[in-house]
Amino acid sequence: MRLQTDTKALVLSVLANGEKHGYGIAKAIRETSCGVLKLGEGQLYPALHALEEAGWVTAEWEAAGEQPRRIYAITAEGKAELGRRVARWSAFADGVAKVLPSALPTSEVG
Amino acid sequence: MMEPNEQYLMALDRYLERHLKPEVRVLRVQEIRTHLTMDQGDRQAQGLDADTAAREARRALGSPEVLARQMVRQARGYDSAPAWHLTLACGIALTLVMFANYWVSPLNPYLPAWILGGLHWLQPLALIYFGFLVVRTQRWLVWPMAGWMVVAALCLGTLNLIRLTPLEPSRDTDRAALVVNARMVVAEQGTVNDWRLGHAPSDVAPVAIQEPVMRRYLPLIPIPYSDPRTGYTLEHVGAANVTRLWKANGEGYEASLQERLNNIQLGLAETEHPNQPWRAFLPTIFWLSFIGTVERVAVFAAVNGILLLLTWVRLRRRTRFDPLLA
Repeated sequence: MRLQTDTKALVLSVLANGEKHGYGIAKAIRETSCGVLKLGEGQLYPALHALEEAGWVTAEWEAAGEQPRRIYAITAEGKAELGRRVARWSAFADGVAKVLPSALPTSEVG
Repeated sequence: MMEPNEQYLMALDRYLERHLKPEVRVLRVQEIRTHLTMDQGDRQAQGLDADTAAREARRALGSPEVLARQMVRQARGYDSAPAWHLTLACGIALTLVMFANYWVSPLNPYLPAWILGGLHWLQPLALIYFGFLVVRTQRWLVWPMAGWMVVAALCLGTLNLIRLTPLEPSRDTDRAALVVNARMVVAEQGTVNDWRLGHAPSDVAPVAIQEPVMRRYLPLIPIPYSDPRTGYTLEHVGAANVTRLWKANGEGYEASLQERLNNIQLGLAETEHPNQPWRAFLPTIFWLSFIGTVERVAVFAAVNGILLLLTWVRLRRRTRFDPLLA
């Protein structure tokens, strides 16, 4: 089953816990969700670049070993945007949670 | 031989080449290179061999073409810009072409063929441009185009009403009589080979004309050299009926013109407000505008839907059969 997720909110949420590079963000999302959420083809980096363009994250190149890494950090505007997205998602999730149990047989609802 | 990861990055670079500035492209590719290296390292630490780890890392990122497309969409604002903004140029161009076609339609017999042909083919060109926008943005862009079509239909309908509104009923009748008489003269002369008549609208073409003319068969798509009897234009529905009468009976041509003149005079006489005969045409104009708009929007929706479907299928196939991900 494929559900619509808010990639930008997920990325902002990870960055709210500290700055990370792209791979670190993808890994954090995968591990925190116990493998349920995996950013698919072409999702992560375009989303990161869009967030950067919107001013919600900043990015700096960091020389580390052989490969330079681009480190992303959330801005104050990004935190405000994250708050708005979390509120929207919570309202949506609450609505779904209220409706879904009605589809189950009475004995399963508890 | 080059490593598969480098081949992947080269493919990504190739797809980005025509769309991003070189300095931006280098940074984007470098970022993906770092991602692949780190992901591969993590997987090797979990016990996978180098080749398998590298392949799994590439698979996690997906096809380089899909990744590049998403990057380009983001960089150009295709995924965030409002649809009306993306289609602004196309909507304005098509509306202007519709107006141009409307304004030149009474002048058709007097204009050279290349102008008429050009105007006919500007509409499908706008449709092709719309298709190009859909492929580039991979978005549903029909609604703003529908908005433009409604605006154009309302404006053209209003112009039609203004054209139909006579300043003085008697003067309007006289003018209609003059037009009918002029057409009778043309029919009697039978100027079949007149260069103007091959592209004339059917209601001014004499009976003897058998040459096919360019007409709009589908909304936005003219079919050159189609038989006028199969032609279908909302602007000339009435005229097409008259054409059929002429073809069936040459003498009926003059009779039909006379009948039209009588109808004009009768309409003016019986109208409650003699100076507002357009009221009788109002429902017809409304329905023709409505049908024309729906037809055009349906064409845009079909083009948009088919192109999105084809793009989706192609990218799925590319991902599934990409040798770098296998």
